[in-house]
Amino acid sequence: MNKKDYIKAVDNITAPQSLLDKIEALDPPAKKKAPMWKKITAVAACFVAVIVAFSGVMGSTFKAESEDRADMMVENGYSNELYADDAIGDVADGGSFTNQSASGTGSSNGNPSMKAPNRKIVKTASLSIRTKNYDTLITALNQKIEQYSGYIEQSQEYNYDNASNRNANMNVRIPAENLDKFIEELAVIGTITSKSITSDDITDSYIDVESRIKALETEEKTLLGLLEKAENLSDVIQLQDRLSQVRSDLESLKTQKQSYDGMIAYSGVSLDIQEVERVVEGDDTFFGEVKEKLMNNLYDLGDFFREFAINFIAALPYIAIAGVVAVIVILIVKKKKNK
Amino acid sequence: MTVFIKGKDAFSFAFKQFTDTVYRVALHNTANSADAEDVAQEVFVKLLESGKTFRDGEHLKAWLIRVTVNLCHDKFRKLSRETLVENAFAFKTGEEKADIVEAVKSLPENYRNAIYLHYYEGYTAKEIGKILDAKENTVLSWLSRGREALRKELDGGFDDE
Repeated sequence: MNKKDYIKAVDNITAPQSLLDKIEALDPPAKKKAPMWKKITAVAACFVAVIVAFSGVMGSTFKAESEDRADMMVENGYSNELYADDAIGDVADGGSFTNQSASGTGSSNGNPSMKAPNRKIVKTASLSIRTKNYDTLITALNQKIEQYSGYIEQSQEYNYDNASNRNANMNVRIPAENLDKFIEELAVIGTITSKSITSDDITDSYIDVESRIKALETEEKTLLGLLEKAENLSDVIQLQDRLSQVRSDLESLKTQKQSYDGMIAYSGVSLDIQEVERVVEGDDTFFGEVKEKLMNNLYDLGDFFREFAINFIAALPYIAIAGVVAVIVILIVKKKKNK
Repeated sequence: MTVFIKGKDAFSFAFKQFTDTVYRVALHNTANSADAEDVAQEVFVKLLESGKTFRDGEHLKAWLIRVTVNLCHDKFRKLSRETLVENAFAFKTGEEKADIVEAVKSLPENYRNAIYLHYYEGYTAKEIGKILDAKENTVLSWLSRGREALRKELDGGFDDE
């Protein structure tokens, strides 16, 4: 029995299908392609800009614009194939989006003015924060939550690496009107590496619940009126039966309305806090990435010198002994020469 | 150059590449495959929740191994190693065909993890020290004592060749 047998035996251990299924089920359905999107849009925008400039130089007229657009689509399609061969459908959309922004309409996010009064909006935010001073950040964070009359719904802390690599996940609720200010303040106390804010319009379901409550309340009143007038027992029993059903429906609808109100009044903020030795800001632009990689390499270089210095200092006793030996040898050699 | 893996990417990467590793480590530190499955699943939950950024695949792998070992340690602290290996007595007396994995599992926690990480995963003592939070020399002595114990228990010992 030896090492090879052991390796063979362990090779035979593989994760059973049941486990694979369980883990796969954990995978949250998510906005998978977001970063890819940005890249595609950026690349497509570059193409469009280049082509627009080029066609301008060539002196093409407005009449030729439609043809140019067709060309652009081809170019965009090509760039898509290059960068994301599994997202061809998405690419066409990306292309038309960049066309719009390139032609200067810039209407992609001009929505605020369209907000109708009394819309029921549920806002949620999700932030990743990195910090060098974990404890300070947590203290400041708690202060901010209190200041904006929010509260912590859930909080978990991990520390699996070493002491300077702590991790926390928090779900915080902040009054919706304070959300923006709260996020602004967070950017001051830590470095936000990713941020997403979603607004979910639940007006339709909210109105639906409200109107059902009204209808049931009316029915309740009618039933009560009928009940007063009812004379025979079977009528009374039937009416009360219906009444109790109406009341239980009302209860659950009111609870739902309350939970909607809660969701609207308090925005959920999920925070992912990471302690790092140094903060690298997330930046998707070309220079941003160059900067990030450069910083990483500089950091590694610094790390190398640090290690070198540590090893050098650690080796000092040996160096000292070697030095003493060398001096003695030199002295002996000199004395012999003098003789 | 450094390539960062984080969030969902880390999860799917870990799922594709390291599910077997996590399961193997878990199996080395639990009594049966059901427990090992539970632990492995929990490790992936932790990975999702942590949202950590990893320098590269190796960093991710080391993190997964570390978390697996720690989780098993926390969960099964109370179990003695006799319970961990249900037929520990059997292979000592030679009544049953010796199972080398069971033999490794019968070693103390640190010995068996060091043996697994060194002989199967090919980590050096220094790397194992980083994962298990111990000094290189400690790991070396775990390895040699682990080998010694295996030599006694297994026919033909547990040699490098």
